[in-house]
Amino acid sequence: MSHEDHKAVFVIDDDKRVRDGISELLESWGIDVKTFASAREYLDAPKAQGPSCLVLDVRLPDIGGFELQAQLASQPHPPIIFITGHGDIPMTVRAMKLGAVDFLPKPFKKHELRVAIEAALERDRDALRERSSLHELQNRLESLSTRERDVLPLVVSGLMNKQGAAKLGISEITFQIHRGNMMRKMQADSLADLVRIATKLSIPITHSRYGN
Amino acid sequence: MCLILQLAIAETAACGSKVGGRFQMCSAIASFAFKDSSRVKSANYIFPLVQMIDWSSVLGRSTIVQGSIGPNLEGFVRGLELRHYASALAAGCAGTALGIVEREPYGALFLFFAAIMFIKRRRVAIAVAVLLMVACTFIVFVHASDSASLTRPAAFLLSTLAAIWLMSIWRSRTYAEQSLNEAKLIVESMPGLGWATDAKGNFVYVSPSVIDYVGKNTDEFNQAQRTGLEAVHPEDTDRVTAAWLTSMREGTSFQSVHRIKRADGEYRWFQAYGKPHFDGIGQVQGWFGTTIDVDEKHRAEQRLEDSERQLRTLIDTLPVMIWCASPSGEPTYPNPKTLEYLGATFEEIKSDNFGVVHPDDVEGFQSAWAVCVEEKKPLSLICRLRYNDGTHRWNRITAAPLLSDKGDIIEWYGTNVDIEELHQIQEELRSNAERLRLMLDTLPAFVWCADPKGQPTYFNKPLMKYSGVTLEELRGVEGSGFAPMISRLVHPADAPALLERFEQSFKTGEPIAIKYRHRLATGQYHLVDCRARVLRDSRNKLSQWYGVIVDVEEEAQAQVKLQKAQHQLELATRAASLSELSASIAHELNQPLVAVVTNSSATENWLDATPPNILRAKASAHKATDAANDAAEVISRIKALFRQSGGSKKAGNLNDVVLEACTLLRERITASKCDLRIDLEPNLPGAQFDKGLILQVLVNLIQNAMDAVSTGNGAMRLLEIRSRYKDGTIQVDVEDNGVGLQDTEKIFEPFYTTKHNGMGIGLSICRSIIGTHAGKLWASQSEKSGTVFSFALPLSGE
Repeated sequence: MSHEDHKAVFVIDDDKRVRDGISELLESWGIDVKTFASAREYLDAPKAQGPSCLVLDVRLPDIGGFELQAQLASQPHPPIIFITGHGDIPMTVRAMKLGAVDFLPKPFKKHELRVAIEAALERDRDALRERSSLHELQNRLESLSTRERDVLPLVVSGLMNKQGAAKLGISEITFQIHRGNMMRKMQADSLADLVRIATKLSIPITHSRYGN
Repeated sequence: MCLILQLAIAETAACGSKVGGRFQMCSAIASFAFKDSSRVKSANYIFPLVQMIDWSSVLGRSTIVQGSIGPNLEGFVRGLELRHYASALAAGCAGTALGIVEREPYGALFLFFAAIMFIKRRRVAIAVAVLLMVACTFIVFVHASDSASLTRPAAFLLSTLAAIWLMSIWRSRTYAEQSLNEAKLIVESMPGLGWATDAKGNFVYVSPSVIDYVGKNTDEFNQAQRTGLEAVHPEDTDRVTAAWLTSMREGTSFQSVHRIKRADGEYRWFQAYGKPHFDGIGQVQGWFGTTIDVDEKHRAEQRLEDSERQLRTLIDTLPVMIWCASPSGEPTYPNPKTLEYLGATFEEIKSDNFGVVHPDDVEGFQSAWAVCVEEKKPLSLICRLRYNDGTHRWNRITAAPLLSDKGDIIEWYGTNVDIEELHQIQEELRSNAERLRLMLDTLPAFVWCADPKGQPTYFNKPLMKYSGVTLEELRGVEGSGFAPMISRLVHPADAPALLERFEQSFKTGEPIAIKYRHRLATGQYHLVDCRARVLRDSRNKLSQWYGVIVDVEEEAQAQVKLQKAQHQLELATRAASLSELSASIAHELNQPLVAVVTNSSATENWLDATPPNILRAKASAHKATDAANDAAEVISRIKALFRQSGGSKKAGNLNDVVLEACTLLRERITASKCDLRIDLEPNLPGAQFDKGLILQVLVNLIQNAMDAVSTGNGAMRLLEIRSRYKDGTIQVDVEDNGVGLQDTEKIFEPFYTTKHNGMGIGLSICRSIIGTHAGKLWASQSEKSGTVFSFALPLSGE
């Protein structure tokens, strides 16, 4: 509650009584709630920015809970809390492996739901943050010139200036200038910092100082 | 006088000789007649005729020398004409004339004899003669003294001689006539056609019987100049003519058997016999003959001949080998078929009687034949005989001796019958039977047969070994049928049912198919499947029962194991379905519970807030109440699943419900192979009940009973439904002979079940249904090892 950012919880359950009950409870906690009777409804609805989480019933009429989870897995999505009337261990394991935050058998206790929602929102907040820093780094990468973008993997691979210059067929001096500019644009304080950023950006190490 | 006497004797002798000759002919006829006893009248002639033969033959012999002196009788008879008298008459007339000239009366003597001879009436003639003689005598003695010339004695002598001559002729004639009359009488009274011809074959005499028979007299015959051959049957004419001509030419006897046409046109068989008679120098004078009717004899002979020929043909053409043998056993006659079959000549068989017998059979045949010859009893044996193609074929040889009055063998008569095919068939049958027996004894099944009364007639070896009994041990007392077999081989618990089933089947002939526990040789019992069918004869009468028994113990054990496995599987499935059900129930309950929990928590939060949000709290509390109500609704719905709500009760007859339940379950009952028996009390009082519910109870109980019998291995699946009016209540029993129950009370508890596919709530529902009818439902042990479920309902008035 301490966060100022706008939190939202999406509840998908085909049973209106359950939807309403959860919604009532979360609202009494001051959490914004959006309820959907089916997965399709949720997918079609516009989503607001800010940390959010998904309270998902396993049994749904058209698209099942696990199916929706599988569909969402390929893209960033709010953390999922499964609720079910008849869960079992394999079902739980499967859900958790696919990244569910929690698996709550109905009827759950209110603090169980609260803990799960808190955790989910926290995780989404982290994820959002992570996603925005990566976005920053990507912006930096995009600001590089073509030559600087060529230099980056060579530097990250640990090649000496001479070696990198030879690879690109330019002089060592020119290489050093490009490298300096690149380091500045990438806001990397050191080579180690650059390597960390490169890792985040999934820039592969393509060369070796000691030759291939 | 002496001369007269001599002449008379000579004539008599000649006459007798001729008559005797004819009598010889008659003797042949007489002897024939004598044989035929039916001709009594003919036989009467025989004695005098035979006597006459003797007499005539003696006479004939003594007068052979003199025979030539007198003319033959026939000649005499035929010569009794005027010319024969001519000389005597001339002498007489001369004497008479002389007497008249000399006025002597001697001429009267001649007149006197002439009168006697020519006056037919004998007495008148004699009287006239005596008168004349007296007159002459008187004249001679009156005038004797007058003259004594030579002419007078000459006239007397001449007249006397003429008189004696005439006298002699007359006597002969008289005698001949008499003989002729006698002969004619004999000839004409003889049973034959008598005839006589002259040397040329013209008839001189035919007996009246000829005229009677042929319808022609002598003259008519002679007109044709054929000696009567025109009356002979055309087919016989040539033969008879030839014989007749031969006899005429050679002067031999004529003999022929031929048909002669009767006046009315019918032909009859005759035997003709003619004999020639000769004159002194051996010339044929004529023929005497007789033709005798031998029609019946000839026909009889013909028939005999025919039948003999037929018999011979029969024997020779019959496709049967027939032979005769001497009393000592040597073959005397084999019919052609025998020779043809054996391909041997009679001589070969005669020389080696046993040469045609198969070498392996010779010894047996010889000894058997020897025994039969010795003991004079019929022979019957089977042996191989050499066929004409050199192979040996099986024959049945039978022979019987023809015994004389003294018991001696006159001849053996025997037949050989080729039974090769039959023998082969028999051999085949025997080998088939042997094969069948082997098959029956090798089959992995137990085979038995029983007569229509149930008496076992055959057990195959495996069955006897399996049961450790022999057929004789099971036969028991005469007429006791299958009872000893059942008591010996069937488990005591199954015996009554089996006995009943057998009795019913043996009475009606319907096939038996029953499972029971069979006692083994070891004393153990194995479940077997016994099936039997009856064979009916052509009149549809039960003739023989054929049954098989198959040991199904292993199968039954396997079945039990399978059932156990199935039971376990079902348990697992039930657990799964129970968890499914509970999951569904949980889901149904959890949904409203979630709502209750969340809404009540929210209510709490709204109230905890500062300031408390009363409105929202109220709304949440309301939602929680709704959800709680929903949960309650779910609970009551689940309860409704297991509870029967009471319907409307109406008066009715429980028997109808029982029958309806049976109708509903008919297919299941048929499929379960239960022997359903319904025993309903006809005048059952009415009761108040909800038909649907009671029907449900009955269906439930019957299904339970069928399940109970189906789990048991018992061969008989009994299911009996009874209705009774008892102790003021109407009671219905559903009885089975299944495995029975351990606890007859616990089964009514909810969720208790002995069945692997039941929820264990059926009986508890049934009990509650009966409870709502103010009745009682209970279970008890059945006398037949099973269970009886009974329910009693009060009468409608109560």
